Amino acid sequence: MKAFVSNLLRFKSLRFKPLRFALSALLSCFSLALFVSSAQADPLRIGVTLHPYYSYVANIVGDKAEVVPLIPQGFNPHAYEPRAEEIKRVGSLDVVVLNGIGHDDFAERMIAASENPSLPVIEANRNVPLLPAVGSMSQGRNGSGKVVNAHTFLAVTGAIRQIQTIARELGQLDPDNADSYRRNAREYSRKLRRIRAEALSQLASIDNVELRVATIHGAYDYLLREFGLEVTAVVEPAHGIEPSPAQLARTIDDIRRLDVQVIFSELHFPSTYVDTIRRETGVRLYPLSHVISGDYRAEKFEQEMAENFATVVRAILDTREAGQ
Amino acid sequence: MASVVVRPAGARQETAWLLLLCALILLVSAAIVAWRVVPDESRQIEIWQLDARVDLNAAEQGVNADLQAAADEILWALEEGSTPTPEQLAADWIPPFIEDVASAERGGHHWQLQSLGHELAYIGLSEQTATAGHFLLRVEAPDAGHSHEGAAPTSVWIKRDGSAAESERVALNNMELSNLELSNNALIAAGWQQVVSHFDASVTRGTGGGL
Repeated sequence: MKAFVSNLLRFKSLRFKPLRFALSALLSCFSLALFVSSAQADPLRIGVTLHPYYSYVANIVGDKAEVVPLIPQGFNPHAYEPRAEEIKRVGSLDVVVLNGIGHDDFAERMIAASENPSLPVIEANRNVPLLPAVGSMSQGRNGSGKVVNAHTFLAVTGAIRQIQTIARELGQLDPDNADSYRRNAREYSRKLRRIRAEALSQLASIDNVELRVATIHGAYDYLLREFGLEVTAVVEPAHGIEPSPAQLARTIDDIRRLDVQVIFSELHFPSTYVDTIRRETGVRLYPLSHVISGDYRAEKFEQEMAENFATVVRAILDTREAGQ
Repeated sequence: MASVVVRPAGARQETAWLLLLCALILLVSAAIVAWRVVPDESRQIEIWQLDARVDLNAAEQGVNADLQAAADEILWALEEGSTPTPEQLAADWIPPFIEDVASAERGGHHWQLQSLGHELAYIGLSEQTATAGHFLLRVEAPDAGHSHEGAAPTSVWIKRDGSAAESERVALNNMELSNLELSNNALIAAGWQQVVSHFDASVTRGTGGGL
């Protein structure tokens, strides 16, 4: 190789123009080939905004691409403000996978402020049938149906639909690995379906799963639909907003009036007012994981969702046992 | 002798200025809000379509979401040369084909597969029509070369029964299914409605493009 390059470098001394032209063309082709092969060899750098998307993408790409979280570990995405170094990192990405329906609005602003404002994005929820937003402040806006519940990632069906979309669009960006992405997506979806099937099989002896449910955060509608359950009341008046004392008093009245049997609270975001609700209503609380805190791991989503399914199963069985 | 006018202690003037300032701020804010308001565009769908978000009940929303996810799995299987039956899909834990407590809560659909021309029809007859209607998943074979009537290769349809008695309903549906024709017009004429859903990006997001 060295000899070849040194020969090429000496071509300036050549007086014969056609030969110089031919060598110049050869050098250009050689450089282009080197550039293309190095570009192909570079794995995609895929940005993600939330922990579930880290798990989805990590399982889809395996070792064929790099998954880069936009938010550093330890930050709550409900109240995240990007910092300069995080915006700078966005410029080095090839694509960003977005929730896009209300849980990562900061991402688009980060992309716009980065060195690569035309960075492509994958709208993971593009093909998910979305549910309306929940909470007393959202209800008045549901007529238009435009304000949607952003927590599609907290359910197996919602997750699978997003995994399918992400795998397909990553395959378009990286056709060499498209088959691998699709194969991995199917395998991962199967693993997630098994979690749901195993949880539901524990309720096989129950003919009628009736449970009046309230949730602190409006995050679990998609998950509870997988059990055929609907949420009766949501404590937070809007996504990530704590209730005022007056709203809290109204919610407590609603929980009593609607005879709510179970409240699902937040595992990693405890709030002091939750104790007030428990004390005032006497309803049992079961904490669920929002899967948006802690370390970024490929297996995080499946592990925490398995715990969530187990928690809902336990709540149903406890309530039946208590004869409510 | 010099006289100095001493005004009585009080904040009347300051209060007046403050109130004026507040009124000005409110006025400017209201003007900005009025200027920036975006008209609420209602999405138009055809009369023979239902919006999954607002026109379906909770049980139907669950079945529809599961069918949408299952459709991709079926398409992938078809591309590999196999036609998955409802039983095979259930064995692979793919809802809504798997029978579990959720399927029972959502109407207890019984699934069957019909192959009609270049299309497959996965038909789910509801056991409890008061809970959820009958469902139909249309899947076009990948080698058919064209999407059904210009649309995506899969679509979900629903049919809600009137007031017929349960036994009559099943008999009626079985007879109907033997004559099922998979075209939009035929399905609409038979009382089926297509379930459509649309993507709405967060309202607090700027405009951005996908891939």
